[in-house]
Amino acid sequence: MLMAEVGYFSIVLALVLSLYGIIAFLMAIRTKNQALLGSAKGAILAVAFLSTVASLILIFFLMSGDYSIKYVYEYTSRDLPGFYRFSAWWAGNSGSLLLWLFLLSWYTVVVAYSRKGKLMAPYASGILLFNSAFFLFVLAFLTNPFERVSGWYPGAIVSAGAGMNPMLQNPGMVFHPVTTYLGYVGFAIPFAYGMTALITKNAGDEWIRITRRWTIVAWLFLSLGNLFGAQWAYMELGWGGYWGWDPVENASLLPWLTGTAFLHSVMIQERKDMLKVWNVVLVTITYVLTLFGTFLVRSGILTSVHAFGSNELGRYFLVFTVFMLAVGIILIVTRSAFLTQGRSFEAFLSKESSFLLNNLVLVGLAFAVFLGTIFPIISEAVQGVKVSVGAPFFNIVSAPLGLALFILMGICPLIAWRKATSKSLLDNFLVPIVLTAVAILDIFLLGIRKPYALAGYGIAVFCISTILREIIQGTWVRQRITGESFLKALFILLIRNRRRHGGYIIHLGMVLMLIAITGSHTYNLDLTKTVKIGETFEIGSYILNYSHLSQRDLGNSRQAVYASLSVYDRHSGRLLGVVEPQKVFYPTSDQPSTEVGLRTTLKEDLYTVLADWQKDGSATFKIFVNPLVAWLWIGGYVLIFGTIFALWPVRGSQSGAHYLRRQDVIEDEVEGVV
Amino acid sequence: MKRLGLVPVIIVLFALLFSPITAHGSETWETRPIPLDVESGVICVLDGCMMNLAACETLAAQKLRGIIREKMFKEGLDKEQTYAYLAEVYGDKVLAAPPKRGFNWVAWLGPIVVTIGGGAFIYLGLEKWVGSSLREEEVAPLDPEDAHRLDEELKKYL
Repeated sequence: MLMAEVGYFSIVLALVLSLYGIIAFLMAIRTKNQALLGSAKGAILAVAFLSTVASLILIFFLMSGDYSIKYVYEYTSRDLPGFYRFSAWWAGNSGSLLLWLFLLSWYTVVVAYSRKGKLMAPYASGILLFNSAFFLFVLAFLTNPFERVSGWYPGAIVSAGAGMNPMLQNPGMVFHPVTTYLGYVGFAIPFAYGMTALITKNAGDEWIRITRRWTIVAWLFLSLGNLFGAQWAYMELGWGGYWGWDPVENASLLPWLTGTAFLHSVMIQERKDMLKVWNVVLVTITYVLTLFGTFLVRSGILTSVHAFGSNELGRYFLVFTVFMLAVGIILIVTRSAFLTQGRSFEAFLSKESSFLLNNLVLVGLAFAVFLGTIFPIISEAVQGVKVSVGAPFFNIVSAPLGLALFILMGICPLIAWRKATSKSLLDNFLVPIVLTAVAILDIFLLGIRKPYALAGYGIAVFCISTILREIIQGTWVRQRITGESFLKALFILLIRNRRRHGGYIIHLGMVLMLIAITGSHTYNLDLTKTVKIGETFEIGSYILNYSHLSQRDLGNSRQAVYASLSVYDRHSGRLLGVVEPQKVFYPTSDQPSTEVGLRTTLKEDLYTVLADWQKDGSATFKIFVNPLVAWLWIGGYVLIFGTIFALWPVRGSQSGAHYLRRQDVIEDEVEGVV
Repeated sequence: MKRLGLVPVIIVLFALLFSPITAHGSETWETRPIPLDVESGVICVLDGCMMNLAACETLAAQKLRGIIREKMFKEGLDKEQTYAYLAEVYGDKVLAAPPKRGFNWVAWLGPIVVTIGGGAFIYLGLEKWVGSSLREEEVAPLDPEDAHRLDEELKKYL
């Protein structure tokens, strides 16, 4: 039992050391005292070590099932498989904040001991340590993960544990929070360096170069988090969709949108020494949005299937979020004069201005999502009426902006830096525009007439053709210069500039996702049907035969009621397979969880849900035919692959003024040749 | 421990035995399925779960579905009339999107106004940066000597 005290003491001691570290950093910077700087860095290492000790102790309690610990009692039970016992670390408030602290403290260690940007690292480390101190304060005084169950605990058997929410017992929910937190925490680092650049009046792009990998890694994990979250929602919530525009889902989308804008706009600063103030603004917004997301999840201010509400905790998070935002704004306002632009825009039509438009749309989209998410609170405050803002609102508001973003995604790669001429525009866009027109006509003749479908598929073809044109054109130029074979020239072209081509792969993944979103939103079918055993019914190109309703033991005290549906092709009558939607009953929950029966192909998903059943064996099913959903996951993983491709630490992924200047010259000249 | 493991078995048996028996063959307004697009526009407000009705399986959701069925299939209201009825009884929060009236226009038009405003800001900024002389300069084609020199230069980096 002493271990709980050791765990709590680790948190308190880490808090004290983090406060010491912050003061030591401030004094070391002021007095240029290297010994004190070393001591401050030691404090960072100690905080990371202590957060690891606290985490390991909590994991030990979770795995061993010590239900005298309140957190273990609330989120696990004896029947819970080990996999989910471990994931209970982030299933609740205090555990997930401890995970956050654990990640943040080790990220801070990497920053503090990094050999890059030695002058900036102490400031950035101090800012990150301040973040850690906040989380430590919350864990020490507001939501202690080692708090004991004391006395009588209502409605539960202490020896067994209340158990984890059945909806969280899904592999998607194991990986989704960790990847999302890695993304959230990761964005604290570019923010810390951005603030450092302002504090130290460093007008160069050093902070951008130091944090480029951090930013991409954070973005990679946030993308993965959103992807896992969508997969979880699709398989676990049983409503046929993958994105419900729930406030907590929006909370992780918001920093992803602004982070994406930041990733693009830093390229302008790196290459053209422009948009310096805007980049600091963007990174501040992104970081603050990660805190805002945490505030949303913790405060319970908005109702969500994912939230763990606690008003008191929410209040502290709000204060911290507002404080960090205020610090960011003050620094930006007072120091922005130092961030003078190296160059200026030379033409309306240029890659630089297309990136500006890309930023505008991404930030506009983020604003739409943000406004929609908090509008219930605004409405209640202003007019005393609480309204709901759900999927119908977000779909209407975000669809045009989303399509505009994809158009820009197609345009940006083919516009020259500095200045595009009408001739180069015609040369570059003629083939993609013709291909797009042909594709739209083709799709129209195939019977697809809905405007959003035509627009979505047309834009997808446009984007793909511009990406392919760019790669093929580059390969031809390389072939002409080096005399290599096409395949060799293509391969070397791709790996020699991983950053650029990784970006194209990411765009390709996004386009595949656009195709999936367009298909699944415009040509989806749904049917709710009550049928008797042996009865058949039809949906889309399928005939379904309900053969039986049964019960099975899933182990770990879980019981499932499942229905067996034989799926036949409507035209040939061929048996395609059997799907078994089920409801799973847990000993620790009144509500069963939904497990969908899914038959997935590249063309469409047949998505079945067992909604209800009757005494005579008849059952009610919700059936969805969701076109092209598989491409959403494929596109998502292509995006992840593209990000890793761009990050891979070999020649071609490097950045830096020297390399970029060379690249800049080469690319401008190549564009001239092309 | 074993007793606890029996709990789901009992729940399943209970669910299998005592769930309501539905008359088949003759679909009534009480059993007729609600179109998904109608459910998607409604929030389950009865028990405060506030999930979209299409994704909600609680008892409160079943009750709300019953009300919608009564209005749509028994009384013959269309989708919009049903929504208007629900909003009158439960308030605007029962609707998944704020009605387009009064202060709610801030939510509907805010993103458009901000994006267009941002676009205008960028346009003005660009105009300032680029200056008033926007004549397009034709890029002269490289002469063969320069093209050869460029090729040689490029090879250093390939």
